[in-house]
Amino acid sequence: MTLLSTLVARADQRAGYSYAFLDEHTKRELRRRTLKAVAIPGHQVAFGSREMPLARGWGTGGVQLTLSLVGPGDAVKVIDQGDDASMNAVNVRALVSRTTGVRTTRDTAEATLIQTRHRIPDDRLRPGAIVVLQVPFPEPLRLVEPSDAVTRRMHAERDYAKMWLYLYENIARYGRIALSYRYPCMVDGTVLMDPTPIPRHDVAKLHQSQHLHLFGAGREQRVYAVPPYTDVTPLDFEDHPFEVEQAGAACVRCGSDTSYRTEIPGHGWLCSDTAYCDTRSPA
Amino acid sequence: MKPLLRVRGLTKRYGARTACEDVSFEVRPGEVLGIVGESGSGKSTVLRCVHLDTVPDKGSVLLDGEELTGVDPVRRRWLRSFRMGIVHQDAATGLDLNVSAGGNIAERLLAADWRHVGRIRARGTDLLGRVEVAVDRLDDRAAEFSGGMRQRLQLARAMANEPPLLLLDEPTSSLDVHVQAAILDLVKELLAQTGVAMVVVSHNLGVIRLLAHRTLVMHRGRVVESGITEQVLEDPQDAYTQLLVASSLGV
Repeated sequence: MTLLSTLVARADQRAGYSYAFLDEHTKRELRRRTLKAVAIPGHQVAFGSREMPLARGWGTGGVQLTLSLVGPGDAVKVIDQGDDASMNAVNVRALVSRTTGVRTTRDTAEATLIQTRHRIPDDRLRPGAIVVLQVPFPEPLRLVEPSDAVTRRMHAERDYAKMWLYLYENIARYGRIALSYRYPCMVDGTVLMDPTPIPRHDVAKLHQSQHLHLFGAGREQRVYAVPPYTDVTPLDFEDHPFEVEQAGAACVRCGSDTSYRTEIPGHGWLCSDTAYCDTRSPA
Repeated sequence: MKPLLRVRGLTKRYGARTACEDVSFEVRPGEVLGIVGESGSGKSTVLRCVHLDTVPDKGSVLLDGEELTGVDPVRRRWLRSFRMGIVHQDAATGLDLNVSAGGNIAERLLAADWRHVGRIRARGTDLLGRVEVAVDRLDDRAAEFSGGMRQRLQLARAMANEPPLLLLDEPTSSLDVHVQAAILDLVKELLAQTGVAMVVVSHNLGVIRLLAHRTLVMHRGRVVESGITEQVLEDPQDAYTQLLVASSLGV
């Protein structure tokens, strides 16, 4: 049985929907855009974002990427702020599994395709796994320049002085770079990229990662990528180096002192990646 | 001495209107060239061509032997950062008023790949001192600065990367008289200290008389007279220059 006939057979079972919800033409377009994005690390590639059965801003870009990539052999994991059980993660996972029938998992070590919002899992990923990040604002220069025409010119000319100036002004005003998320990074030493609202702790993981990271912005109709083993360098100064967040204490549940932890008032510090915390905690 | 800036046959038309036609001049290192003329005479167009804000229809602009017309945008940005600085009449054009004074200077240094905040601030402090702005105003927003202070800040910003050429476009025209005098004194002092070359565009003969070694008089897009400033202003040959000198208030 060819792959196409497998897909058609599966689609037939799914009450009139194409395999993976999107029609074949749309998926092919998205894969082509994704290939271009991988070929130019960090560069934002426009794509024809489709209406999805979830609201824009709820991960339409990420879910389109996931659906364009997911094959019958994949194991899909979906997290939202590190949590597999949040409403958004549950619904995206349901959409993927009901329109494809592929296996879903909470186990990071098992997943081959991970869609995530605002986190990168703390556990070691399976070799070859692809991480798809949901992107609210793909343009890192939006912070300093409202016009799209101008930001495109700035990217083309590698003219990032305004972004550097923003960081300088932060230090002049607050004594430090007061950016806690969407920390601007140079990719491969050439393109400035918005790493999405992941904490700085996760920004550091992008550098020379062995995994492909894809970024999908549905509302803004952009896709970009960090291929495996690519330099991702957060903007910083020699006398104000980039620093990741320091949690106040080890995780009260699993005891990890390397994971990204957030403080729950009255309960202390807890891992934000719940699957990671679960694997380390007695049941 | 070899000329730093050599402009040849510069012509710029906007549709049927000619902004400037066949303008030629040279500026040597350490020299100040004044361009004087009434509004619409084309003097600002000449400056815009030199600063690469606009591309001339004909003619060439050579800076240190490099042809500037038709450079690509990346080179143009580099030239504007390292080879020339500009002071605009309206400070809002040359400065980001929402950014601190230090930030306005820092932007030029950051474009030049300075990546050490301490050193950037030290340089900003040094430059503010040289344009006689209180150094404790380094972190004040440019919007909080007075008109004269903004022009000083523009000067500091223009000099941040020590370019060999400064372009001053009506640098004091929006200021009251005694602030004008203070700024002009400052420019003269910087000139003596740094030996930078300048092109000063003004409709004010007083400014030209005070600063410029040599002067071009422009009228309807053409250069009608040029020479040593004293000579041009004391003994004008061209009818238009005579009118211009006669109609200016005593200085």
